[in-house]
Amino acid sequence: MTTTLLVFLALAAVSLFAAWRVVTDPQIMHAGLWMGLSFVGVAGIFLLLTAEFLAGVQILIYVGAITTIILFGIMLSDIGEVKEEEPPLLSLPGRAKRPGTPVAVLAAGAFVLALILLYRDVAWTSLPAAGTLSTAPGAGTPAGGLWEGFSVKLIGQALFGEYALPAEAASVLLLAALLGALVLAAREEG
Amino acid sequence: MALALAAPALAGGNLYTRAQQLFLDLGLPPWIFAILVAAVKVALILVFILLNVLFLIWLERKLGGHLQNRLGPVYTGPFGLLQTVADALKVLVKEDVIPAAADRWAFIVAPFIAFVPALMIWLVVPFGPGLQARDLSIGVLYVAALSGLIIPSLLTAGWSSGSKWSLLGAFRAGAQLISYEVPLLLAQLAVVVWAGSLSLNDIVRAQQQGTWFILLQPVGFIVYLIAAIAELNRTPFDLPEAESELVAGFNTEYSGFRFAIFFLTEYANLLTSSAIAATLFLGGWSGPWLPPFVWFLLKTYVFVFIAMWVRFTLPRLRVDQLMNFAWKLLLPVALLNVVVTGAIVAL
Repeated sequence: MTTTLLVFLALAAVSLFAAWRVVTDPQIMHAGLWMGLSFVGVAGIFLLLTAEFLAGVQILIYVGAITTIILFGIMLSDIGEVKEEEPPLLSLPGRAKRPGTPVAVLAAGAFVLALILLYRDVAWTSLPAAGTLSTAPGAGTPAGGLWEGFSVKLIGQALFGEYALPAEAASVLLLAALLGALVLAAREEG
Repeated sequence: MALALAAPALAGGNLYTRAQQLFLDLGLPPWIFAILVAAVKVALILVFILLNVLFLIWLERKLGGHLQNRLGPVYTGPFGLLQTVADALKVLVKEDVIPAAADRWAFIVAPFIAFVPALMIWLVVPFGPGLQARDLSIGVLYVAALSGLIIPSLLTAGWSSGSKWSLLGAFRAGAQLISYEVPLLLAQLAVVVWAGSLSLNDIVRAQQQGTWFILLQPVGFIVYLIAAIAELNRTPFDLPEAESELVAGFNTEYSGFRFAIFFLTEYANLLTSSAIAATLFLGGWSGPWLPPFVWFLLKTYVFVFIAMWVRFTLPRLRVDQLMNFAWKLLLPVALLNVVVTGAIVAL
């Protein structure tokens, strides 16, 4: 068992436990905080894979922005605790279930399937030179230098070069969503 | 200070290699040495931050006093220098009150969600050439990501207190910090575009070869200054803790040790924002005659002084003024600055 594997297991355990608490905690504000912790764990796994840029973005957007917005929304909406008579979305077999459970299971299953297909499809590029990556089994602490800074450059070149059009389309979509939210909010105010 | 000055020898000089050799000669595995070096670095950074925060709190009172034609602390030690020590002792021996209406678990966790990232940021701050715990290639992004974590912390603190003052303060803090984070990041982005790197060390070196970015990015600097003061919840942007209407805002119910953590975080963040500003706009540790570490401290304290000067000079804004200013003036100016910078760099 290498150090990398140990760290990975710890991070995975934290992320999974937090994710489990997100769907089981009756106090919805706590669920939001657990979600933030889960995102932090995933960012740690990204770091372990030397995808620093992705880890930074994960913290900045998912923890700093999305979790914040969700907490903000919960505080504004005064939901508080999920009521006792309402069974949790995920419960042990044999106990009362919500009508939405099959849909949730199907959606999650489809997502996992899509991820597996994606994983099999992508041609994973090998490292620039053997031994420069810290995740290689047996490697000690990363020496820095060659591999560091590579991912930012690669992602930038891919986003603004080969994949410029899809990236722009995604940003236009986000802009449309932003304007849509604005229109809806303005209409409600009357 | 002596500890921090000894660090260059630890970071890259002879002492480092000699200590490493000693460890290998003793037959100890190299990872023990790596862990020890990391621990020493973290300890040095912690000592640096705590000493500076002690000094900052005293400076704020003394400077504020003199700016407003008062004397500030005078009784504890020479020039009242021991005032912070006395305050810290007072706060630490106070009873640790958790209100009955509070959500206990979240109430306890909230201060640390802000405190830990505030310390972690200093991992990438370059104190001098080679005097940096770790030169991350995503330096600026790392700083932005970690400083954003203060928002969930304040929201959690305000919500879990079970008090209307705390809740209102948290709402204001959330809205304000989200609004001013956008121009803050855009101002940093313009510097990154100019320097062509996210690494703070590279940004300092780029300024060493050219000129300081405050001359090339005057608009970006002003946007950064305003947005940073707003992010720190300092007057004129201290609506989240406006004492005349909200008692003390999100930390109304906090006392003793937990309040001290919030207080410490606030001043650590003031130091961080100043250090990042000095690094991005004033050439960081570079400068003639004096040692780099002294230059870094001097430049950092230029920003600290500006922030304190503004605080004791200007009155508090209204909520609508605050929001209008962020979204209708600061954000467009910051965006335009990025576009113009990009155009100049591309040409």
